[in-house]
Amino acid sequence: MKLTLLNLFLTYLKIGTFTIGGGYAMIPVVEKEVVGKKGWMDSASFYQMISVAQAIPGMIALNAAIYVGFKLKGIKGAIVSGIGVILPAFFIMLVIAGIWTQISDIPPLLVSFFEGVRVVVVGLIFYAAYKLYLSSENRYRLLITALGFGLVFIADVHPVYLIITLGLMSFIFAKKEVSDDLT
Amino acid sequence: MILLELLWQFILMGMVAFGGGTAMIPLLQRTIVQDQAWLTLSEFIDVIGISQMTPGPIAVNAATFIGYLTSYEVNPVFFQGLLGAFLATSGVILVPTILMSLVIYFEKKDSIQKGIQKILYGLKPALVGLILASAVSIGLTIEGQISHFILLVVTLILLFKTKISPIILLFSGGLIGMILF
Repeated sequence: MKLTLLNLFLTYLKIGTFTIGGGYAMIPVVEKEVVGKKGWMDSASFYQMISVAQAIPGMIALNAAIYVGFKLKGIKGAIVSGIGVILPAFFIMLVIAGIWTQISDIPPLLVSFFEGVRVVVVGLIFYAAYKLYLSSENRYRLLITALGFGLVFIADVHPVYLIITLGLMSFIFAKKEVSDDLT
Repeated sequence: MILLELLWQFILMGMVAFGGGTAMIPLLQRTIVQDQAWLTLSEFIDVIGISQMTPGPIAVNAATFIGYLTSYEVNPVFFQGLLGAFLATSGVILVPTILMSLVIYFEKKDSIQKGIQKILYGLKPALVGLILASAVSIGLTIEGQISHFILLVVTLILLFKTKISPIILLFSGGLIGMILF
């Protein structure tokens, strides 16, 4: 497929429409589309972009789309890729939210469905924490994890202040050669 | 005013959303449930569940859904919900988009990336603690029946021991819920 702005937009629209599971689920799909099927860039530079996208705050899928789009087609490419990847999510959620607010009595079967989903959500959040923990190269990771948990769960500290304070401290005191990213 | 408040809260959360969508759950929970009281904790968990079961980035899904629900509650007109959804989504992507543009612009100096790696070195384990706190507080809302506990244990075993997709787990969990709960 020829690399045009329209094709780039349509590719990201497709990825945004059919990939369930957020940023991490999207990475292999984007690679298959952009690197494999279309051959728009090579695998090494693709993964270099992903590691940058993971380090910057915000959604990995969107960050990566902006970067890939820019590499391929400049500022216009970044804009169409970014819009393409979030547009389907926005409209699908709009429809669901619209229906959600119209239902006054949720059928009992749906209530039990979501009771089951809730249990799985708890499991998924635990697992996400575990995977993030394993990717840390910090010697004191167990201590800092316990500190973060204690401050938020027991001392009721606001996560925003905790993130800003700890991030700033780490920026000042971490040695120059650390290379901890979120991969 | 609810619309401006939505925009502002989501800009703040987007600004410190290190670690992507899942790592944002503690931020969302604190802001949406505790500080602003826009949703109850069980409504919030449903929003997170639905966001993980639908296509797209989880944080965008959650922002759209929460933006719609909270503004619609104040004034039940579709347009008001749409506006809330749009502002929350725009808010959450604002700062990351600017940062991403800066990184692309200054790519050759790669000082921004170095700086962020230094931030993450100390911050990442703390994010783990934050996410755990969310998991525990959400877990505590589930009424403790033995069948719920078994489902949680089975979910964790499958996640740790197999490469099963989270989507399949969410839908199977829902189906099991329909049968058991």
